[in-house]
Amino acid sequence: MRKALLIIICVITIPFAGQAGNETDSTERCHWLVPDHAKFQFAGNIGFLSGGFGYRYSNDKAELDFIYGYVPKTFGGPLHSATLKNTWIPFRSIEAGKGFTFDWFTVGIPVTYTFGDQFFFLAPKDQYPARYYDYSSALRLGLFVGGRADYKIPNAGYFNSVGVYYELGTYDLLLHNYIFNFGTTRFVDIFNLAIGVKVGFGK
Amino acid sequence: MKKYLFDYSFYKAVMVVLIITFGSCEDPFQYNPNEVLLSDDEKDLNHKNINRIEAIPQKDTLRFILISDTHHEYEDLDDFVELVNAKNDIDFVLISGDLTNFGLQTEYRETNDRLKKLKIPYVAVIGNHDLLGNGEKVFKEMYGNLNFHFKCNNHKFMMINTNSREYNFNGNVPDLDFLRSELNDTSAYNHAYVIGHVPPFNNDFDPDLVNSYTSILAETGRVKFAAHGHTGGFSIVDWYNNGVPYVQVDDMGARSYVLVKAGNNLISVENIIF
Repeated sequence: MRKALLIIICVITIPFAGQAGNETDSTERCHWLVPDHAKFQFAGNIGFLSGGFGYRYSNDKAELDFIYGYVPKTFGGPLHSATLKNTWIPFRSIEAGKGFTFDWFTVGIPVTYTFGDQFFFLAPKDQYPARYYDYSSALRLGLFVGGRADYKIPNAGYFNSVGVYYELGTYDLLLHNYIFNFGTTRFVDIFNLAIGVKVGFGK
Repeated sequence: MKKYLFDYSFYKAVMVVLIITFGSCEDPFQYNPNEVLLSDDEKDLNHKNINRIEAIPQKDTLRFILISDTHHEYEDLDDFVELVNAKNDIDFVLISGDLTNFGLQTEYRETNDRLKKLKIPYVAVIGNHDLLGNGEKVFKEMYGNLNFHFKCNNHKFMMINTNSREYNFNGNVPDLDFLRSELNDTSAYNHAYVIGHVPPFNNDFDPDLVNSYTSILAETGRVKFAAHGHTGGFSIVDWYNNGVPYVQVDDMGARSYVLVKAGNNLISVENIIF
């Protein structure tokens, strides 16, 4: 699986690699492109089901994920969306032994673009005066806090860890309405829940 | 911490916290801000409420309230509902658009969850904000058609989508054929009222349709007034000097509503601040 992904990415990137090298060279050059993990999620305003891959950076204190999400008709769609999600893991993971680690606090910002003719990235200039609407209807800026548990698979092959996570999230428009009703509506009411699975790849 | 992680009661405690936090929420899971997934009691509300209005027995004086641009003004809307429920002489409430800020289902719900507490029926027409994103889809499912009419006694109410800019002034909004044919059928009513969101003297109204719209309203002599929202502030002016007064209904955020008393003649149109 990982090898297949590696090969696909390298085949795509070889033409951009400048000097033609042998297979080993380009494999090494492309190594950093191989994702560190994949995530599959239920709910959380980025799709009924969503899935994607991502990278760890900043000494494993942060993750950047590229996610595609889908809402089928029976759950309020059809809606397709693409999400760029950054998660920070600010505190040291708690080593619980037997391969288990526990991150009790994560915080993140997902940016989600929902596809469709009825949504605009920016209000069309030929249709609306400047600043007619304050927000994009296609692009949402989110915010979440969460936590997760991971299990490191002993003698692992391509998949070296598996974990579960949850996120309590909201987004710009709900925050907007909350601020205008400050003191009269409950903060918790603008948050909703997401549950996901993370699979780590060995390198 | 380590020993707790393998203790079942730890996970039970976490689940209890999550259930307490989210069990009290109506929708713990949301799939996309633009999702449209309504329950049956949230569907076809205008039709259901119009059935109640059309069943009102014949009376000398009809009393109804106009409100507009409720947007995110939930506290003011709560107070309004409480105030109207304390009265017992009002027949129904009409909202001239902008029930939301962004056309989101969750906002439509916030508004309906308050207005459904009214003891009397309410009917809504769509505003420009309600058309954003999937808003038109939500409105159609929750309330019904964008152009419609209903009758109460011998009074006819024309509810019209006048948000021309949202359709990039394509010449079809407002639907003048619908307006003309319904108003021309004068056998079916004595008095008419036209309710929309964007007024014809506002630059979000299709400039090519202003003359036709305003003259159709004047043609039969039976339109007692046209009421719109969108601009904020209350006013009542015969803008086109053709006998049709244009009522501007103030935003809900201004904590005011318009009370109309109508009999065989229009008795009064009054802006009331609460």
